[in-house]
Amino acid sequence: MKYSQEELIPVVAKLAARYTSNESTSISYDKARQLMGAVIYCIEEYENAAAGLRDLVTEYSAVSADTAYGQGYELLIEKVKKIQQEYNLMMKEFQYYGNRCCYDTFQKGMPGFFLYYDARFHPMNHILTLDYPVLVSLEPRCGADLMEVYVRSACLEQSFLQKLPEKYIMHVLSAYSDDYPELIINLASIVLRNVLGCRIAGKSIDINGYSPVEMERLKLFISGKTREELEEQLKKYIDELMDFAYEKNEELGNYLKEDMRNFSFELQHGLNYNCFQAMLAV
Amino acid sequence: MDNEKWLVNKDDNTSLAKLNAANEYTGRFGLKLSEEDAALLLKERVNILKKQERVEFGEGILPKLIFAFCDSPYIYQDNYTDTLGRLQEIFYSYKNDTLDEIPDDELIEFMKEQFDGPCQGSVDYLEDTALEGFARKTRFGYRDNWEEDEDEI
Repeated sequence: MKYSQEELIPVVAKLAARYTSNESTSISYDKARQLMGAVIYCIEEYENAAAGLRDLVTEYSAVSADTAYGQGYELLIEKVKKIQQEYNLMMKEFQYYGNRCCYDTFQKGMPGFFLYYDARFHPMNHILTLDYPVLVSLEPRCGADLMEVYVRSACLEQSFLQKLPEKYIMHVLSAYSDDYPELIINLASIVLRNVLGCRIAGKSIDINGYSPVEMERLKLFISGKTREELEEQLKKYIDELMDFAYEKNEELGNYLKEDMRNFSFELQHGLNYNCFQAMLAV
Repeated sequence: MDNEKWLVNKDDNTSLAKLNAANEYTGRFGLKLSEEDAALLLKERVNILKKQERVEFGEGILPKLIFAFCDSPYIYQDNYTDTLGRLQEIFYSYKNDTLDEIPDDELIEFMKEQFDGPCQGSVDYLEDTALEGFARKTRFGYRDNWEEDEDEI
């Protein structure tokens, strides 16, 4: 950020006056930190937008901290509206496959964000604990930036799962654990692992269980490969899957690939300790 | 922001000028702040704000305290500066204790009322008894009822 503390303090002072409705000349350190955070958050929002648009760059160099904050705030409001639109679209055909964590997070919890998100005084606070785990790392994002990634991830997961038969997904989840409705787990990850397991073993996903020959194929695939090689190979299978069933959806492919590092570790572990059943949800 | 020096208020000449300007009004009550006293009060303000972990962006609370308390029968030239210093300290302390729920003007109004009333000019009584109860009630959300219980204080 190009602005110095001296330039930011008047903006914070203005925001503090607004926060207290001009009824208090002083605020606590905690509140001052929060308001400074709000100003920085909005200015960074503006800077990120400006960095993406060349014609704004020249303009940006001459913009005062106050103007940058104001414009960043407007951009933030627009961003939240877009997130809400995307969320509303997703919820039209949202399926949680009996998993309570998934239901609670998206169906019950998420509207709270749109109701109570405070873009003016506390834009860094995304309010929700977001219990449902997604495959991408959310750190170090916060506020609307984090929610943007989170909702996008959920949309991608839904588009992945909805192409598969519901009965199959329910079977895989039950095979993973009888307690799956109560577990805090990523549904797409479990299903994807099963799909990839079937691809490696060369079997159709609608047949339950692995034959000894298919299990041998699986072991052969893993043995002799380093973890990195395994990960690369799994990523290629995801590309294949995207080409075959998801209209070459690169964004979805990249999202699912985020899980391949963990999966490659687990496959090696499965080979060493002969516990494929649990990890492939067979 | 890593460097948190910005949270500490610094002395500024505008506040000093405002305090000196207030002498014109307080003169009719026989009260006057010398330039040294005003500077001392402002220096104290910086220390109090730091101690109470508060940051102030405007001219500060002193001018408001001066205008509110200058007509008190318990304040005279000899105790004027000391009382203002104490009132300033108490004010910021109770801004924290009331969880910032009470606006400045309302807190000052209550302080003045108690100072001239039950406290009879005792700053210690104001701090330890009157404001203590007021802050407790505010924290418990009985803000609208404190006036009814005034007699108990």
